Amino acid sequence: MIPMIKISTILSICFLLITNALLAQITVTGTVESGDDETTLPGVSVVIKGTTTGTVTDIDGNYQLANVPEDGTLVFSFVGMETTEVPVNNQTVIDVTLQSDAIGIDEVVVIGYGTARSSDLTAPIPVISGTDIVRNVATNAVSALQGSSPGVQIVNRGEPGSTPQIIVRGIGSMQGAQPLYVVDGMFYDDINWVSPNDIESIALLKDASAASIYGVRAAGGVIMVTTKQGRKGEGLLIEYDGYTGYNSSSNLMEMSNTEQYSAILIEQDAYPRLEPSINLWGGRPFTHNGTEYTIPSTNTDWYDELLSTGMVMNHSLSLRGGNENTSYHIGGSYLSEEGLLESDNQFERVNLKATVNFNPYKFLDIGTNIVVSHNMSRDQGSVWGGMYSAVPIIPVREDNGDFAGVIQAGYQVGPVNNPAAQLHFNTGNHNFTRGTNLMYNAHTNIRLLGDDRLVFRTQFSHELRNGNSRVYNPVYFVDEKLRNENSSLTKRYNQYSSIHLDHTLTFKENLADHNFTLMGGFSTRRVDAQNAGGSAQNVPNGPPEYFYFSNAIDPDPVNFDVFDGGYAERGVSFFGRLMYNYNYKYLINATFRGDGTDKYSQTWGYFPSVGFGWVISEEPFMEDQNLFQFMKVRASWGQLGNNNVPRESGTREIFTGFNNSYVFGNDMIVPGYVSSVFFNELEWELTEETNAGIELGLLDERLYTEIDYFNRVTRNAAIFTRNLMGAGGMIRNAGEFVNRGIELSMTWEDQIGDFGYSVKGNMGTLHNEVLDLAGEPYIDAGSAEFRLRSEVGHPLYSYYGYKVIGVYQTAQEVEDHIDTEIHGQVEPGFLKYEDIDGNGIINEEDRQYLGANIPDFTYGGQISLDYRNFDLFVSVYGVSGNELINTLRGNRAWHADFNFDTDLYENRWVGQGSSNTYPSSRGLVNSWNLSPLNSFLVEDGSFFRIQNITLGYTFNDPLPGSQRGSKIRIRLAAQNPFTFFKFNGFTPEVTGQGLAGGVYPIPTSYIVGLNITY
Amino acid sequence: MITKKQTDMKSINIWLLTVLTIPFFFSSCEDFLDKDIEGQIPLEEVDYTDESRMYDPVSGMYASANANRLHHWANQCMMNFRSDFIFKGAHANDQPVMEDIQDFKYESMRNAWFVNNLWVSHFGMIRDADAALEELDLFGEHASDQDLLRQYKAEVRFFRALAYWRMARIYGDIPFYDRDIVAAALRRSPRMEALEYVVKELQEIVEHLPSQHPANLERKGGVTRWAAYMLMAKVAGDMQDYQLMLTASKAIVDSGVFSLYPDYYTLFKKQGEFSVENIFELNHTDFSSSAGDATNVDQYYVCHGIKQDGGTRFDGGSFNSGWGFSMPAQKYIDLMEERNEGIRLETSIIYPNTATAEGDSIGAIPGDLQGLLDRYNDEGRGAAEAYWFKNYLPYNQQTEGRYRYGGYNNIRLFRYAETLLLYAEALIHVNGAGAGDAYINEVRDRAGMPPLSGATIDDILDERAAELAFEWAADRFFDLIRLDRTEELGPDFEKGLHEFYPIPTTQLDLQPGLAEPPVSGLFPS
Repeated sequence: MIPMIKISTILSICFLLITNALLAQITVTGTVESGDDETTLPGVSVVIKGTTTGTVTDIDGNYQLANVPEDGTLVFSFVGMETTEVPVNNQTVIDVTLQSDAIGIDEVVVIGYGTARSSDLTAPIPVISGTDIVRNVATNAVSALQGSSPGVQIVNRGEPGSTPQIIVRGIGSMQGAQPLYVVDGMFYDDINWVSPNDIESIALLKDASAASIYGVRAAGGVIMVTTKQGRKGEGLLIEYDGYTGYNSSSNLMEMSNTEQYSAILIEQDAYPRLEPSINLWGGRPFTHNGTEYTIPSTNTDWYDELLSTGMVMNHSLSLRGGNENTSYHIGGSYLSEEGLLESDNQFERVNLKATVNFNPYKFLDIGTNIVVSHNMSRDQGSVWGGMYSAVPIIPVREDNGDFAGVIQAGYQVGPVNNPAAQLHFNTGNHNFTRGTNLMYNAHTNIRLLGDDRLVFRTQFSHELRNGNSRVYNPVYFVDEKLRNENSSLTKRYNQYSSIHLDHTLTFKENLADHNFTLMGGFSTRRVDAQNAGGSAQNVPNGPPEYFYFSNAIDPDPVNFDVFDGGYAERGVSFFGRLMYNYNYKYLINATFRGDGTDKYSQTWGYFPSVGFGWVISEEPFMEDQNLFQFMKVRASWGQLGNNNVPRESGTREIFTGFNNSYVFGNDMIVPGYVSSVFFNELEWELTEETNAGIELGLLDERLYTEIDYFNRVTRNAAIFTRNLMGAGGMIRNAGEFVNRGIELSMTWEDQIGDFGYSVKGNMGTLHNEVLDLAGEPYIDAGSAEFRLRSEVGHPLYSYYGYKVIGVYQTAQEVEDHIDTEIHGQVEPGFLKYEDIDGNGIINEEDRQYLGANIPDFTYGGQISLDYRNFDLFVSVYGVSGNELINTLRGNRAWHADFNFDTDLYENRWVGQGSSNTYPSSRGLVNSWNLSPLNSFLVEDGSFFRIQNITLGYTFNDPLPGSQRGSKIRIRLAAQNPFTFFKFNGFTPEVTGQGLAGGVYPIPTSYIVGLNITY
Repeated sequence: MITKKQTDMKSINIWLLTVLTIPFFFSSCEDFLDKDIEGQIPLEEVDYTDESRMYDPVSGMYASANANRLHHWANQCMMNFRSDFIFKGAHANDQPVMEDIQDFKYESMRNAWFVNNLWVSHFGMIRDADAALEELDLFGEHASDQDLLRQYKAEVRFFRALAYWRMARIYGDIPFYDRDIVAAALRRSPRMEALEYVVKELQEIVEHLPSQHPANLERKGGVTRWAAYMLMAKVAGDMQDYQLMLTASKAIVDSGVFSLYPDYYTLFKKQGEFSVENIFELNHTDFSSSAGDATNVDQYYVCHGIKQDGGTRFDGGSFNSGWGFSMPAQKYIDLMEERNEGIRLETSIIYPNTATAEGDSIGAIPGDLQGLLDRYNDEGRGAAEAYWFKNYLPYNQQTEGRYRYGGYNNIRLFRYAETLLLYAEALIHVNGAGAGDAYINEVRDRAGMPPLSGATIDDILDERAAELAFEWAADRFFDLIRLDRTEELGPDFEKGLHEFYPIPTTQLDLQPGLAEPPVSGLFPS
């Protein structure tokens, strides 16, 4: 490590001494216009080709650039316009008209360790602009990508500050291949710390041939984030962006009220369970099925009691610009988001970012990028499940103000409780998680031949994360069930350090019609993480200032528990890429990466890729038509690795300590150990993908469309398999599975007078299937109650259980269908399962596949309209064809006292012919209907969401004195205002394998925002 | 001003430097990547030449067996609820599926967690035993004292045999655990072959095990040859091999190492730990300290403990009772009263709203439990309104600040009283009624019961019920099965169908071959 840094320092110093010879130079002036509407364009970048010397046009579109070589070339570039090159040829006045580049074909795309023109790519790489990201009210920039690109499924979570689950082209690994984030060339496991306001664009490397330059970490896709940078000679640009508003819950589940709950209990012959509540808190008359009853007068709607709206706000300020050989960007932001619970439930983040680039000599760039990010969140645990189970016949509080207990009302055992008290005491406001991230890098580009042909780049980057958390459980007493006798305090401290050192050498050359870019590089990675903490009992309740171990009342050392752990990772990689095209018509891209890691028994893995493209529209025979302005077909193949597999899995080890030692004679601890019996040599999990696509630009480039087919096979899949007899398990390379699909995206953009609009739509299909399991007939996951099975020919983690074919309407129907000697408890109103073998016994032989949490397709769309100063934006997102398991209902098998969601009440079977899908009240608490897994618990997970509606109004140049024209924009936005779904749960957005329990729902946010640029 | 020529010179130097340094990076790669896992001791670190550590895997085996495997509360429920003396208690909605155990409704519980838990905890022990034996072999390559090695292995093999016996007793036809086999190929073996294997193992190890009383061992409470003989006698009972039962129990009786502890009541309290009567027990302790390490006794006592409303307050402030999961049947109390039992009834059963001999008060039956008992009695099942008392540990025998029901009392697995009853039973089987009188009367005498003459197998059965009720082995159900008295189990029990639990669904899913008919010859012979 250290020698490398020294060498790069030496390199830098050497080059400080070098400069170039002088050539004849002139001063050039001119005006830049837009070809669309012939207005002048301010802010256009004008650069001398092959250098970084340049300027930008002023508010009237004029520029002046000194020291231009007489035989040089000027490059004019502007966002949304085609980049144009004009040879100087001794001219001192050069006026240029830029053509709009609506479909982004010539956009420069950030690829791994370099950039490429979009039209030269042989793999699909969607790019989402920062403007589209900040439209969303989201703490995490990735959340805002939901629905923006086919093949990238983003499952958001509702907790403030949470990270979404990202699934790139299906489940590529059973070990949860999370994407790799590359921010300005630095590598991260998540980007929760990035302020969306600092993002210039995000490129998604979803295809293996695009991502394989990142080798072992890229199996989950690569998300390439480019942050905003200043530009040389640009002058100062100040931007403020902020919003404020509130979060609220929508699509809440309806739970039975006291009348409904009582009706069900009466039908279950469990009326006496209502009596304690009536005795304690009063009763009222109620008629059910013609009989008079007294039912509790208490009627608590727990959602009503525990949910509230939360404030959200974000303020960010950035300054950027540059002079002749320096550019900078400084940004700061503050974000605060409150959750949906009636409790201190908040996420806050403060960010500061500074980027500075120096270009002291023509052959040398030196730059640094520093980000400091601090976040704080307060977690509220899993009260969502508690709200579902809580019964309406318990009040929140007694008359004297104390929380009401549930034991006195007859709920001695089981999870039914007073969730308001749980929220108040258990998940108290004493708890927090804090983190401070410091990320910095330093890089230097050395142009070894004095121009862009041969560039050596060295980058050192360091990520330092420090975090701490505190959990305090006070002493409290609601009743014998909900109480805590000894207070406890747990604190954790962790530190994570990740150092990367990358060197690349890039060679570009154009020889006649042959255009080459060759890149080779070497990278090392070193991760060291430590965490430590402790817990103590009997720390007195009071203000948080008391919460230190030293305050424990009984400071007996045995009341302290200390823990300490850590992990380390080492990685070494080398890589290379060849990009070649003949006359921009025939394209070849090839990459190769070798990764060495300390994680696996097999140290080295090698990941090649190759891609071919043919830009048909460049062919002479296409010149005569004017339907297609652009047409390209391309195909690629590549391999990726996945290093998310836990490193300890599969190694042989021993377990020592007190728990593995025996105490003889009740005082003599004889040291002992237990050794793991099962172990294996873990190899690299390998993803191999083939992609074929076509890109079309037509109808005067107003319509742009891209269609891709991919086939992604995971080989050597690292799968957790249970050892014989279920005694533990381990990860083995035991499978092969495929994800394949078609992705389609279309963009239509047009301008009719003052009215401009664009419509974007995308859709991706997904087929997931297990191909091989190394001889095992299937691999099971989940629990016996919620069985997930992966079998050859079926999707991964399919649900496996009984198929409901109706509800028994009569005793005769029961008698005719099953052996009542064995299934004695079954009665009319119970679910009727398909008896596949027809033997009258419903057992494991009768189970079948019932679906999986893998959507058939996902789709998204964005419409933007602008008319004069108004703009309107609407985006939608949908998921179709996946199934979820309703574990809230499923868990009732073991806890019959739960409340019932209203859907269960309203649709229940109440007699012959009343329902052929829902069980009776008695059936709702009988294990026959709810355990084991059956298709009644498997529900459609499809949903359609209006993600964002934004209405904006812009004041053009309201503030005098701005170099490039000031702007003020006000917006009103609704985030996730409407979601349509059938699933009987809090939200259909469920991460992982689709076991949908008490999930924090996605909030709906309403905000007003202000953006000022100056 | 620097000239162009110098630039070229510098360029060359840089090139040279770059080229020269690249091999340096690569040469250090393998060292850089060769790193141990943080905070874990890899197996290679065990020094197998260090004979002083040779007992480590054996101690680990004891710990494995004692880590809530041989005494998980739900395992005890599964063992007990099938008998005619115990009902599933607690609360109607607390583990409602467990009610199916006492009704022999096996189909509905095949996929219940506790059915699988029972299976996994025992095969987990077997797996750990196999691993420990491999470790001992590695030590054995260097060990100077091969006799010691054989003894250590014998201790481990005892636990393996114990686990196989329990599995064969509970599930009937069971598989032999061969870790090299792929899951799909695993098959069951006939129950008798499994039991024969257990006997063969025990016969091989007895001579390697120490012959002292376990309390006199250097490692107090360890496995002795008497524990092995005891297990052999019980296995022989299940096999109806009464000659073997005779030989094994006689060996213990003849050794003179054990005798009956005089006070039946305190035998089960702290005073009775490592007593003259205890052949094998699982050691549990909290080191008399209110916090810190304690052995994993889990809910073994808590589960069956007295579930009461009010009553004993163990730590002066808060209520601490058991879950009342196992409730005695009136049939048991009737039997005991009919026999005029004294101390054994007083030790086994206590009534609500009374007090213990130590002065701890016992509260009323709480409403939810009472509701369940009322329902049972409405259904004509005959549940007693009394508590199971044998596992009770008085307040003054618990560690201050660490009060829990039953505390950290050792769990008695094998007692000499049972040895005498097994010996008596074997003698009756072999030589006819009356042949075991001397030994059955020794047990009765300690309990203050008059001597019998001409004792029959029926007498043995009742004596076992009176003496051994509610203890770890939960023998009552198995006694009725092996002695063919299943009519006692009520009308729901169907002979030939309900003797053994079904293989848990989870296990069938893991090893589908377990559903196939058993295959002969898989256990090593």
